[in-house]
Amino acid sequence: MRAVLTGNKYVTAFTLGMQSSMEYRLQFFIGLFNLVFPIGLQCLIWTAVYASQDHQSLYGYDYGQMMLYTVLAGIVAKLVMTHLEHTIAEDIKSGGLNTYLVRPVSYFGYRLSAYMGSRVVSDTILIIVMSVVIGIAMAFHIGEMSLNRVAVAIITLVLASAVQFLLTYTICALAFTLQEISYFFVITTLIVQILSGGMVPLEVFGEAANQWFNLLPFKYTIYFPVNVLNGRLAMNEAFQGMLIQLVWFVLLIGASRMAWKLGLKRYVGIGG
Amino acid sequence: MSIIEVNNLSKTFTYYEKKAGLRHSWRHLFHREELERHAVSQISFNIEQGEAVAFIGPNGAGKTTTLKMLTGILHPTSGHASVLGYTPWERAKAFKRNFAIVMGQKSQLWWDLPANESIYLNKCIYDIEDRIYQDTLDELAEMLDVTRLLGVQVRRLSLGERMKMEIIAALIHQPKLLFLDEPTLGLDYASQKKVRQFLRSYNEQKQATIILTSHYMKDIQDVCSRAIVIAGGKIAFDGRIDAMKKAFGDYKRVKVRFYEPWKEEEVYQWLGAHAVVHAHHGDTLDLQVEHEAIKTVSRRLIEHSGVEDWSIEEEPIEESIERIYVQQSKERGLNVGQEQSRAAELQSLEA
Repeated sequence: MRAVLTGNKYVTAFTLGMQSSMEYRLQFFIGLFNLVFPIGLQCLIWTAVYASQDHQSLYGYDYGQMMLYTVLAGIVAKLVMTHLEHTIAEDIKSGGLNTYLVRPVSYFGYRLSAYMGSRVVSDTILIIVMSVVIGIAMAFHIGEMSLNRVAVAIITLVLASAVQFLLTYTICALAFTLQEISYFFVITTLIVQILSGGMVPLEVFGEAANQWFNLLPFKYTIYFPVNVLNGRLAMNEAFQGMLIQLVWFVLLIGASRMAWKLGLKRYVGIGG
Repeated sequence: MSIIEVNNLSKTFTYYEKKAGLRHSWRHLFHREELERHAVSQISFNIEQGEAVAFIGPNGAGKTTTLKMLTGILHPTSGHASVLGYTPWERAKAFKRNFAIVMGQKSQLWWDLPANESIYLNKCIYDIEDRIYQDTLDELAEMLDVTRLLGVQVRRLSLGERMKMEIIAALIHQPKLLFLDEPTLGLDYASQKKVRQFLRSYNEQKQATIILTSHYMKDIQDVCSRAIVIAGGKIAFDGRIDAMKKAFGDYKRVKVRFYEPWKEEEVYQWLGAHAVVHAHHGDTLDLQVEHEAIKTVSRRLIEHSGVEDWSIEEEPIEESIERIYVQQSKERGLNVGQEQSRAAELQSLEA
């Protein structure tokens, strides 16, 4: 088995991605700071909001649950958001894709493997941080956490990452048509993060908006796994959600394949 | 048997034109006039196994576009091509296993890792046996004199060293067909020479077919025996490099030194229509003379008492080619400068 794996091109791309990510230690620590800062700010804002309210709960969350949601959503957002869009769009825009098109390797498989490799170290640290948060929540009985829930949540997280990767990959195919796409990503990243529940719980947007959110894949990437983990969703709702994640996964595989097939026909392969 | 067969291959790009100024930028936001540019138009040629062929032409002539169609990066607008028996833009895996392309401006190496990691990745991509991989790597690294640099991070290598690593990565699966797009671009003279020597011997030893684009005539003369000159998307010449000069006009360069400085109009009075002044600095004169007129000019030089010394040389091949660029551009109602700025403009538009 080991011999098969060591010679595999995608396994090699995975290990190269991992090695490459370790080159920039400072970047990684700045990334961690980037995680702590917005979460801390949001916690402060929610603390102020809850302090000024007479109610014990807001949008169905008591103070402890809201803190837990904010911290977990921040970590999950870091785990599932790929930030690959600029790399892929740059490959398309500046012709870097050429070097993959001429080799017997799938660009999708290659990018995915290298990306997964590049995430090993940072995700390990994020998972440790998340475990500590879960441990604290369990100790203080915030939310309804249990080990069973954690196990189910891990599966929803894997599916969420897959859906998010495919979403990014499909959106990136727009770079075949649009001349300048980086501004577009600034907007989409923000919108996707809001619609995914990465900033605030989706209940904040009201009943009507949530009806629409149910039709989109975004809430299944952050809001859903976080709520499986913190116990707001019953187990049967969790399994239902997983099924929807699977449907989105299949739909997005189809969509990305089609978008890339059309895009590659238009591809102009700029540069020498 | 031809390993490359190209029939009436064409590629048309669409682009938008915008006049300078804010007003036009504003209009451009709402209305864009779509224009077409025929990058390659109905070219046909065959290349045999083991040939080393140069694609020559000015910027924007269609060389790289042709190369991209032959490697399957681009779909053509019309026409057919067969490379190693495959239609390149169908991008069959079996096809990709048998060729390689080195692009001077595009790297396949991982920037932050040593080059041997990227080369090892290609070993896995092309499914090369361990022993063959090691032998090929040792041989290529030795030939290009970079064995000790294989373990150095790519970002710490010089441009020339990086290009040699690119070549090793491209050739690790020992392809029988190799495309090179400006492989010596920006390299110092010693590195250029090394790369040229290497390509020549790779072509001879492995009987590999090489297709090369370059703006350096030395690359072309040292590596290739045949040239395809592309200008304005069309083939202007296809034949042996030594036959190129005849095809573009057989001129000699006559260098004359006088005892005293001369005026240019006096030279014309003296030599008439037999020669064109190429360069003139006081007492030295550089003349372009047609092959047939060389006897007449020589006679007049011998007879002239003001001539101190003179020599006859072959015209550099670059200048023969330059003539065909100018000629092609004139035919299209443009001068070379306009043509080049148009190509640059299009490149930036496409980017």
